[in-house]
Amino acid sequence: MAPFTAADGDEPLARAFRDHYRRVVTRLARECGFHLTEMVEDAVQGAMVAALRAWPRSGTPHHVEAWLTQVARHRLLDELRRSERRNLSLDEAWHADGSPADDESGADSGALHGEPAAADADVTMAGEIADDELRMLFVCADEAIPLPSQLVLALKILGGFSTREIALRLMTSEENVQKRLSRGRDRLRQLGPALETPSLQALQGRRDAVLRIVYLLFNEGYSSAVPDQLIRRELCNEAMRLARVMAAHPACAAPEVDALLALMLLHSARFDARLGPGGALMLLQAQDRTRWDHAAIAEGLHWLARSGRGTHFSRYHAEAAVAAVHCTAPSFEQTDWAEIVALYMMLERIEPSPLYVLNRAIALAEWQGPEAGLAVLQALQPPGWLARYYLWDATLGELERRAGRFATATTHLQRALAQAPHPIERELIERRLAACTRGDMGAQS
Amino acid sequence: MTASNPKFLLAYRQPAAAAGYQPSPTELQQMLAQWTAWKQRFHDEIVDLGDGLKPGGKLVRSEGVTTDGPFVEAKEVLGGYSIVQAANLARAAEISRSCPVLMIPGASVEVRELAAY
Repeated sequence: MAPFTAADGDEPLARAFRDHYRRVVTRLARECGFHLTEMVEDAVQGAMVAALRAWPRSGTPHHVEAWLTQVARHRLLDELRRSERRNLSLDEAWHADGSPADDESGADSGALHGEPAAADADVTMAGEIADDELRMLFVCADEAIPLPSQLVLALKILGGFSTREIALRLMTSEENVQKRLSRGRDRLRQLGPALETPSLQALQGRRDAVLRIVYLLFNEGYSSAVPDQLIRRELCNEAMRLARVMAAHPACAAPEVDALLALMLLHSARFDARLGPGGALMLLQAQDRTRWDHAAIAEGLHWLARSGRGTHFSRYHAEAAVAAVHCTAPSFEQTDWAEIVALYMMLERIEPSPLYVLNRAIALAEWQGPEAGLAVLQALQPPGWLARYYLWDATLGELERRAGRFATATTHLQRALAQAPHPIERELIERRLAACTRGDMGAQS
Repeated sequence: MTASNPKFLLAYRQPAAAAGYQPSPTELQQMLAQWTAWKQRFHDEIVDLGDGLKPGGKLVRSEGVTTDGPFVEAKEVLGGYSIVQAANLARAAEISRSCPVLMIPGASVEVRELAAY
């Protein structure tokens, strides 16, 4: 995994269009105001379409990003003039951040023609780019925007994905993505021209919300049932990229950021090993540990150690610590289950969730046997959503099977089978049902 | 190719449904690579890469009727054009066959010789 280097040069085409897209969009949105983000996106998209004809004709420009920025800015100004004719004040729209007035006397984009192209080379200044990108991420994390819309906004603007590509990655319809996107855009528009460019410091209160978006992005990639591994990996990589930008930025760096990055790296290390021959889901105990990405593990452990500075112990710290125990265990049997049980108990205190209890029960069963795990689950009153969640019955069924109560196990497993959303999970449950039929209490892979 | 070779208009048509689609940056990057490769491959014959067309427009008829959006009832719309100079119509059609426009499902290229009046 190539480490994020914020100081990358502006090599022609060395950078993917997706990267150019996010950099130019976040820069122009900062310049003219976040309420115009959609217009900015259209302008940058238009600049890329223009490149399709212009570059094969005259060659790839030396400064690709400066070219795209310049052309997008022209298009944006043209569009704003048209808006003005539709009674939307240009003054309001463009001068939101007190940027220099556009020369109204010029029929064309006079002010732009006068701007030396060299000024655009500044766009490559690493700090400024990270600023723009993070500011946009914090703007998307507005609590007035529903979480699913925050996620889609971040994927569209910062991930540079089209609605079709987002739909494919989130396993939903393009129409649904459009709906979520427009809900988010409505809110951005409401920010209004009066909005001052918010400083990153002013947005610090949203750090938790931003971390939540990043983690959700990662989970969408890590746990979703999109069959294409590469596509899923892309989401995980995007989440890790954002976390790296945060960790490297003085205004955003925090122990929680390090912990989240560690957590994602440690999970991603096991990404490929989770799929066995024929695409079957491989449980932790069945995974070939030599297939784990040991560079990612080392890097994850480095970030986890770094996250120890400061006094705040977040859920990301505890979850990263759980992942670290798994990643450093020589084998499934030699896993430090006592440590994992302790970490889940900490998580329950930080953020009470029956899912942590469920995970603690599974770890406890590995440590002290199935009856100990079942005792934890029986003491828990599962909320309705958990009782209907296939993993609840799948866990109960598996522990009952290991305790040798095959009839009870079968009942739970059949209920889990009916709820399991994806074939890959159903296949695993069927294997366990078959073990019940055989009267097999042994560990299943 | 010689200067006396005839010129041909390649008119790009695409399904009306595809006209509103906004390709993602990644897709645009792939399209750029295809256009660049096409232009290089037929460098001597593609004399003008042409342009794309914005959506919308007016349709002016001989009866004096002017309507918006000439495309409303059309299944396909004109999306752009290029000019090539080739030995003959067959060669111009051959060049068109690898035109990146044809990557769009349902797209077509109409090849017409300029009359040079």
